[in-house]
Amino acid sequence: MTVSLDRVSFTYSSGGAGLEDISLDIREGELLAVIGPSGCGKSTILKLIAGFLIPQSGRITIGGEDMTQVPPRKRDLGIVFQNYALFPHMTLAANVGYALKLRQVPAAEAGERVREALGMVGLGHLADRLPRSLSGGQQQRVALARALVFRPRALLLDEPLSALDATLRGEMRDEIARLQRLHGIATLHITHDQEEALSMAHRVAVMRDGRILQVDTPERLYARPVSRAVAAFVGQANLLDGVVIDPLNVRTPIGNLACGAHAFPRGMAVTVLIRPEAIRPVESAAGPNRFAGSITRDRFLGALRRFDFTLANGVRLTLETDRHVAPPGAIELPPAAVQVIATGQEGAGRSAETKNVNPAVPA
Amino acid sequence: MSGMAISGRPTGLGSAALALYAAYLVTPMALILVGSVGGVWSNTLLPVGLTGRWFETLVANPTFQKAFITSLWVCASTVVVCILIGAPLAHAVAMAKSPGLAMFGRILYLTPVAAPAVVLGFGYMLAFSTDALPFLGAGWLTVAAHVVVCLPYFLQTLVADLKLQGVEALEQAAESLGAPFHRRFLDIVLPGLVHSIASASILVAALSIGEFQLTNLIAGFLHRTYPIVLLQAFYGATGFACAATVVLLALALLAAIAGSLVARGATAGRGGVA
Repeated sequence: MTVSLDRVSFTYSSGGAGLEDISLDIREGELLAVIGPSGCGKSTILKLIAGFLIPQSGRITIGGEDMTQVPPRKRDLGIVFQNYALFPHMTLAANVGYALKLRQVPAAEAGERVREALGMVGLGHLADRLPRSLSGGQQQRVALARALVFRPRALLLDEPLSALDATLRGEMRDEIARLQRLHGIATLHITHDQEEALSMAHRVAVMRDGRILQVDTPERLYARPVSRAVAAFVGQANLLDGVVIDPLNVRTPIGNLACGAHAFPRGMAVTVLIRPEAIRPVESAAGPNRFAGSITRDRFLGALRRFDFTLANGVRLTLETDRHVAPPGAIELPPAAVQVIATGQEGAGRSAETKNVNPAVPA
Repeated sequence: MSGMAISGRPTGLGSAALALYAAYLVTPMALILVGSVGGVWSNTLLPVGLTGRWFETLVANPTFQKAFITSLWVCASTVVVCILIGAPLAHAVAMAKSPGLAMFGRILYLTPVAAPAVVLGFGYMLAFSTDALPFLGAGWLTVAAHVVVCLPYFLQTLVADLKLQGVEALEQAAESLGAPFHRRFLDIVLPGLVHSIASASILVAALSIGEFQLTNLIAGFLHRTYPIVLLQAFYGATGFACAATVVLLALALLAAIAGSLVARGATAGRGGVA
């Protein structure tokens, strides 16, 4: 079933950041991830859909049915909480079967469904154990089984992997994605981990200050961010202020860059985005979009290597290479890799505040 | 840091302070114990002779028998009422969204400090000795007064446990699975509180058994509790007074040991995280 938010706004009585005029669809069978910096309102979206908060305006529908004022227990949504929230005094079987007990499912059928659900997450042999005897990853699996066993209308995941270590997180990403596709259920996944969102989701919504900046496929979100803020938040980015000279050139603090600026009028202020992996080390600075400079920082990251490259005029760019070879003294920004983004209000002058941004700044 | 080394072992000063404190705590109890089985105790450091007659006299004394039974039923009633009122109230305070309810909880916690038992006692004397409310001396009033005195301690234990458990998240989980309020309370909240209810009940029992100030002001002749009649014993033979006190001391010790065992059980029950 599709879950929809239609022009939903919410303000906390304490004055905390809420949501402003949010419209969003989570389609049948889709896993939609919501990412954004802390306090951007992503968890508020989940609480509103779950019914733990009621919006001041707008409508929330599930399968076309208006749920805006319906209490959480009548929404039929499976929720996996950040801390799992397993009932500590109940066995795994009792935890998973609780929703079925509330729905008065006959004992034999309930028992079968519980066995099936625990088996689905590979914990059938631990049905009689208490949650405290399980590892974090196992508790997470139980929480998933509990959220799915009563065949909910949609699944809500509230930062479900944040308490796990890196290795387990990778495994659980695949597990959640597998179960979500197996059940074909509309799923909202709240996370602050963009790698998690990009690797698991069919679509990703980027939020900031209670607003959705962009909803798109992971590939498009990375390759075609609609604003400076999105470009800054998703992945590593070199961002430069620029002015359109003509359809093929933009003036930037590092010089004129050849690129495709057909969509923008001459003289318009724009943001230029160059992803670090698109920058190529070259032997000579002779030629368009080539610049001389030197390495000012070198970070070995295992599969790749990230360098800070400071140009002669002091502007610093970040580049990445999987060849583990430092640029000999010059770099090239291939015109096809230079993206021009309209400098919108939400991104202008503020992207440097964003956590993952690598703005190209004077060194 | 004074008195304790970094390793956690007491330093010399700390050891001396600890020994002094222990002596101050243990000596009166030891003297009472000795006195309860001592023959004659008059103008000597310790009693002369050994006897069990003080306990025999105590057991045969109908006033003390009645007071002991009164104390037990007042204590049991206080515990039951505290559980019936305290568990839902603790839940409401722990889950309080409104600042008003949170403030109510804080005020309730401070009651023993803000309104000492003697103050409450005078209040009850004024309120319940009128023709309109002639209840001074009624057994139920003693129970109600004990509940007022003990409830803050009961609540503190339960609210702390509820917050430690993260009961809000557990309730949200249960609610998302379809549980209405009464099912959440009975299926999730109460089972999680079993250990702290037991622990808080023992605390309440210990407080109620030993309560003197308030009870002395409001309990009538028919419903005098053990500590009230114990006071009379001090006007008689020293050995008898000591024997009567030993009974109260034994009850308090039992409560302390039971509380400690329950607390240990609760810690073990949560996998050592308490």
